[in-house]
Parts: sequence; structure tokens; C-alpha cells
Amino acid sequence: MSTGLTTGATGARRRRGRYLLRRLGQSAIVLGIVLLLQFTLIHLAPGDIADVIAGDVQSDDPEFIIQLRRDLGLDQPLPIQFAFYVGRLLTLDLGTSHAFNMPVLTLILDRLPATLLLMFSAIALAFVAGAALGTIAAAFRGRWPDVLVTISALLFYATPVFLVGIGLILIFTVWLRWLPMSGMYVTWVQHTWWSLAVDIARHLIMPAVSLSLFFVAIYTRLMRATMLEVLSQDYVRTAWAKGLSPSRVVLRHAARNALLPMVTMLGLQVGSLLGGAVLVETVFGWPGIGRLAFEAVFRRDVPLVLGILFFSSVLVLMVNLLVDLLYTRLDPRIVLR
Amino acid sequence: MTEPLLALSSLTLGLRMGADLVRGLDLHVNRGEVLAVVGESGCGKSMTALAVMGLLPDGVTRKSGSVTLDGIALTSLSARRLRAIRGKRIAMIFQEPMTSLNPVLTVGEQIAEVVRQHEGVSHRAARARALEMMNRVKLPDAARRIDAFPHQLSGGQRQRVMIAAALACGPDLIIADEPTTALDVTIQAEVLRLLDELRRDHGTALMLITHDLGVVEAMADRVAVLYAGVKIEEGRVEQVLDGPRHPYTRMLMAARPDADAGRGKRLVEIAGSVPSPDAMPPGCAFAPRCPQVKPRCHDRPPAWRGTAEGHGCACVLHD
Repeated sequence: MSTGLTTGATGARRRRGRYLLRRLGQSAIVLGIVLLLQFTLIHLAPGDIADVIAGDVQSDDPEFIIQLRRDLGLDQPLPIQFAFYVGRLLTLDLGTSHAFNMPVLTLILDRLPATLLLMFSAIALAFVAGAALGTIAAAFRGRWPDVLVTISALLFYATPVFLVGIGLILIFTVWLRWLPMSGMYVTWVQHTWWSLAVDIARHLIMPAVSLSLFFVAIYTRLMRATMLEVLSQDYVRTAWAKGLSPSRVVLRHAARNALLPMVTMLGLQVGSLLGGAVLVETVFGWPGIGRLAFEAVFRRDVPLVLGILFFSSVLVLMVNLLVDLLYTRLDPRIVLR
Repeated sequence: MTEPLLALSSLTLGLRMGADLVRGLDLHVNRGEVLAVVGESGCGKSMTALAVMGLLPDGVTRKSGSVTLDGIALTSLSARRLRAIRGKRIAMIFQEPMTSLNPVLTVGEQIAEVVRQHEGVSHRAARARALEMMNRVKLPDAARRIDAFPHQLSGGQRQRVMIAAALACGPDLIIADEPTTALDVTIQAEVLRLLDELRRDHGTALMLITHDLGVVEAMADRVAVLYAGVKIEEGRVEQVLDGPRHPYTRMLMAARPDADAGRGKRLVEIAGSVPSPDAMPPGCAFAPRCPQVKPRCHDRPPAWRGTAEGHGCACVLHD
């Protein structure tokens, strides 16, 4: 009659543990496939590192290039190269970046915190602003707040990220002189922990806002549509019939039910957010992975490109796993299996 | 005679810029009594109930008439003051217990929030009241179920939760819109008996919307029969069921599967269907289906004729 009630907290914990294990296994398989695709794609492009290095040292001696290929293992068939690559990955050896002449892992780990900070500020901003604006639009459907929100969302949606970035720089740096134009913190002063945090926050505002605007638009529209549907549900009518205040009905009864599709979207968009980070980091000189990827691609730094792709894939998979765990918090009907 | 608890006077509801769904309805519910509102689906029963609550759906509006509770004109109250009455003095129980409870809040929270809203008591006191109400509606193992979510309960248990929430603030009036239609037949009687028992204990009046004449007979004091948005007969239950005056009421009773007269015979059906609101005939709405129709029935709507005993009917046969 009530299986959900009789299984206690320990049962739920064990189920969650089993679920996590299985999902991690699945993630590993997905990661393997992604790696294979990335590796194949990169090697479909004409030319390889040997060509680039030869170009860098301005040598056209075929002997030198053949020797270089042999040293780098590029003369092996692709499947063998891939096997070696995966084997090295398992020991966390991502190879050496020839462009920076440093281990790829060090390069990435150096830049990762900056990108994570930017991404999570942007996505948090987009989620919160989108949820709030969408809720307002739905609660005032057809009236001026709705029109205002809908039009703004359309604008945010249609404006390219770099344009937003340049616009923000013009307004807040050039005219108002409120915010620093680029970088992550000023290097020429002695920082305490607190002043460093404030400085980073000041540098973070514009990149995070530019990166998030497009996603604010998406979340706003999704939240508005979901809220409109939820507001017409029977249980919302019940809530009105109880004499609850409009804010209680909208926030407690409707918004919580509308958040589920929003969270799904969150998981799906981490990938495109990383793509957007490339542009934003370039515009604002933010020392993150995005800019590193940009440079790596231009300099044909295959190990570095592959390393960055590897880390992004892991990031996307982890976030999606977190999202699935979050579902059970939001909707008690969802049981992890 | 004392003033009725709830009075609807010449209430007309309709689509904004469109057809009328309920026309010139007069109804009243006395303190502590059960009024059954009967009719086919689409006759305006549910709209009437929602109009009392001030919860008409988008697009439907009150075109004229008024709703008065205990001398207060609900139809001219501000939204804020109406909210103070909803859930506190009038509570509503809906047809579908499956969809009428919020899936992401525990049933305890959904009962307690009514109490918190109207009595401003602490979290803990509201929860204690929720538990008390759950015991009162005889939910087995209430202490544990208070933290259950709706999907963990059966349909009958969920409707008990709805009843608990409706009664939590001790309202003067409960409006129940087909409260058992969605439930298994075996549970229907149990839930209705519970509702009636609790209602009696509190002295709460009940406006029971149903299409089940068996339920009317078992629970109601008075009954009003609606057809196509118009009241066509009203009276004490025994008056109406023992001596129905309107041809429609008679046919409704003949169409009951358990009608004594019909035992062993084929069920009687009422030929034709209810006219749609935008194609109302100029005369009596039932005339196109009426077996005893007279030429003048098509001219204009019949007048309401009441008896001294409170048994009224709108039909030219009783002019």
C-alpha cells in the first residue's frame, strides 16, 4: 500500500549509493566515446604538430619532420595512438603543450578555477534572474510587467555575447569608470585575502553578466511557460481556495513545481556555457580555460586541445549527475533507480 | 425565519463577451444544513461553486447578481478581505483528490498552511492541528503520514486529507464539488459518511454538488436541480424525490440505475442533450427534450412557482 513510507532512510541511502555507482560507470563509458570522437575529429584535420613545430623552427628538412613524427609517436596507426593516449590519461598524464612548453595538466589546473568561478557565477545569475523574471511575467500575464520581461528576454536572447561585453566595457569602464576592463585582479598591489576577494568580484561582474544574459533569456522564457502551466493546475486552485496570499500561492505552490524543467535545462547548458566562456574570456582577458582553448586551437596544440576537451567533458558529465541527484530534492515522486 | 448563511441572488455567470453559463440563479443554504445541487455535467454546478469562492476561471465572469455570506456581500469584497474568508469561513473540497493536492509538499504542510494563514499560529501549533485533523478524518497512522507526500497515499486517503484541510479552521460552510466521483465505489460511501459526521460535529453547512441522487437522498436536507444553468426545481429532499414536479427531475429519477420502479426493466435514458450555452432556446431550456412539451413552452422561460412548504419549480405545467 505504501512502499514509499515503509522503506526508511537507510534504504534510501543504499539505493542512492547504488545509483551513484551505476551512474559513474555510465559516465565513464560516455567519456570513452567522447574521447574517441574528439581524437578522431582532431586527427581528421590536415597537418599535425610536427608540421607546426617544423614551421616554428623554420625547417623544411623532410628528415627532421620524419624524425619528429617518430619521436612524438605520430608514425603509429591512429588506433594505437589512441590507445596510448587513453593509457596516459589513466595516469593523469595529458602530455606536454608544445605551444607553452609546459605539462598540459599544469596549464589546465592553473586556469580551471578562473573558468569555474566565471561559469558558476554566470549560471547562478542566469538561473536566479531567469526564475525571478519568468515568475513575474507569468504572475502578471498579459500586463505590462509581462510585456517588459518578454521584450527584455528577446533582446538578451538576440544580442551576441561579444557585443554585450563591449557595450558593458564602454558604459562601466570608459564612461562611468566603475569597473575594471579586463583581467581577474590587479597585480601591482599587495592583496589581503579580503581585498583580493573584492578585487576579483569587481573584475568578475562584467564577464559574468555578459556570459549570463543569453541564458537569462532562455531561463526566463522557460520559467514563464512552465509557471503558466503550473498556475492552471488543480492544486494551485486548491491553494487559492485556502485563502493563501498571492505570493504564497505563486512561490510556495507554483514556483517549486516549475523549477524541475529549469534544473534539467541547467544540466543541458553547461556545455554551451563553456562555449560562451571562450568568447567572454577573450573579450575580458579573463585568465581561464576558454582563452586557453582559443590559443591552443590557433597554435594547433593537439595535446592541449584534447586535454581541455577532456576536462570539459568531465565537467559536463559531473554537473548532469549532480542535476539528477538534485531532482529527488525538488520532487519527492522521483525515485533514483 | 432567520437569515440564510449563504445566499445567491439572481446570479448570472458567463463567458466574457459571450454566452451565459448560469442564468439568474437564486439559492440559499441555511446554517448547518446540507443543500444538494444536482444536474447533468455542464449545467453550471461547478461554476456556481467557484463563483461563491470568487475563483471563477479566466474568461468566465459574474455578469450580475450577488453572493452573500452571513450578511457580507462576497461579490463586492476586496481581494484581500475575500482571502480572509476563503479557507476560514468557506472551504472547498474538489472532485479530483489526485490533482488537487500539491505533489511536492507533504500532506501535513498542506493542512497546516491553512491554519497558519488564518490564525497566525506558530509552525508547531499548526502542525499539531494538522495531526489532530488527520486523526479526526481517521487517516490510519496519522503521526507517520503527516510527513508523507500525496503520491504515497491512496485516492480515498487523499480525499480525507482534503477534508482535513477544509475543516481545519472550522468553517461555517463547506462546498464539496463531486467529492467522491473520482473514488472507488466502495470508498465513496465511507468518505461521504465521514464528511457528514464531521460536518454535524462542527455544525457546518454543506453545499454538495453531485449528480448522484442516491447521495442526495442519503445526505441532503434540501435539493436544487439545475438544468442548462437555470434552477428548475428546489425543495426538501423528501418533497422533491417523492413528488418531483418538473419533467426533467422525474426523468432524472427514472434514469437512476437503482430506482425501484426501474428494477428488472431497461434503464430509461433522457433523449437528446443539454443545449449549448450559445444556442439556448428562447423558451424553456428543457423544452426540446421534454416529453410533455406544450406550444407555449417555446415562447419564453417559465416562471418560478413555489409552494408554502418551500417546494418550487419552473414549469408551465404548474402554472
